[in-house]
Formats: sequence, structure tokens, C-alpha cells
Amino acid sequence: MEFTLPNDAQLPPASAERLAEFGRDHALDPRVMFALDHALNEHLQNVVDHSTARTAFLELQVRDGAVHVTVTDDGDTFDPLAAPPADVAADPDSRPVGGLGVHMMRKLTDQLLYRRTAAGNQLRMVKKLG
Amino acid sequence: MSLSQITRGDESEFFVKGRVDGPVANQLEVEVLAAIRTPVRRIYINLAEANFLCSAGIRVLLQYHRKMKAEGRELLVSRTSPEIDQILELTGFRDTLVEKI
Repeated sequence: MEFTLPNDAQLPPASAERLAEFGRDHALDPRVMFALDHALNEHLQNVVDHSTARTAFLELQVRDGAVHVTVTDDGDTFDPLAAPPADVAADPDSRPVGGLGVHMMRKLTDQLLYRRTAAGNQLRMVKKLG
Repeated sequence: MSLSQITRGDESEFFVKGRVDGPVANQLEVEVLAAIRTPVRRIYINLAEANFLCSAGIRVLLQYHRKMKAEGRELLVSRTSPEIDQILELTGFRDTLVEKI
């Protein structure tokens, strides 16, 4: 499945609907869908809140025993994976809450890959089936 | 998503159903802030019927948990669904935010 959406407040919910449709079409495990739903939402909310992109192009694929979700936004260069990892071992009463979204993406997927392409920022999330 | 609230004495409990995504987290923050401005001593967020919790939602819970604690009051998650439990666990905030029964 491929689609392009404008970068506005509807980008995360509209993409979640398409992802759910993709999951139904491919009879994907609810646990896989749960993880990808959260990971994709975190990334797209970052795009909405922080990027200069006008559009986001999404590709959803099942191949090689995994679901591949690739998001390409046409904003200025920004690598979300460059941020330092959240320190979940720190005191939870004083630990900074920044970086939580990327931490969730890392924990909920098997692989996250960022690269800058001619089309823009490309983030690929890979979640193994089963 | 639906959000409802029951106040009994000095306790207030919010019942959140469905997806807690960015817009819902904003709505929850407005409602929690309004409750904090009242004299309630304890605020509970019941997530037993929620099935999605984004980082913005966790930030709302954590921010006002800390604020209430600093004032000698309490804001805790009273119940979780298995999905919400998983998300809170992986962020490391489960033990801080969920009420110990």
C-alpha cells in the first residue's frame, strides 16, 4: 500500500486508518499491528509538530517475514534517531520525559533505519511477523 | 475515544476509553488541569478501557503526577488495560504512575 498525505493534524489519524486497513487486508497479528500503530503515530506526530514538511509519503509492505513501514517526508534534514536514547533506568520521579516517543519506536519495532534521500527524510520501521 | 469524570468527596476519577493519541492527550490535559484547580486531593485516571497511549499522553500523566505530588496531593492511573500496561512498562513509568493496590 502506498499513499501521500499532507503534513497537518490529520496525518497521524489518517495514516492509522490506512495502517489498520492494511493489517486487515494482510490478516496481520494484532500484536504486530499494536506495535506498528504506536510507532507510526509517534513518528508522524513528530513530523507534524517539528518538521517543515508539506507532505508525507507512506509505503506499507509485507516481505521477508516482516512488515516494513517507510515514511518519507519532504522537510528539512532531520534524523529522529540521532537523539540520545531515553534513560529508563533513571529515577522516574525526576527523569526527563523528552525522547519518549523515539524510545517507544525503538522498543516496539525490530529495526529503525533513517536516511536522507533526494525525496527527503526517510524512516523505515521493520516489525517481524510472529 | 470518550472521556468522562466522576467526583466523590475529595477524589476525582477520569474514565478514558479508546485511543489516547495527540488530540486526546491535549483534551485530557485540559480536563486534568481543571480538576487540579479544585480542592480534590486525589485524581485517578482509569485506563481500563483504553487501548492506545501515545508519548504525549504519558507526558500529561507524568507532568501532573509530579505537580500533584509536589503539592502533597496524588494523581495516579487507577486501572490499566493489558495494552496500556505494556506501553507504561516499556517506558519505565509503570511503577511510578499506576496505583499500587
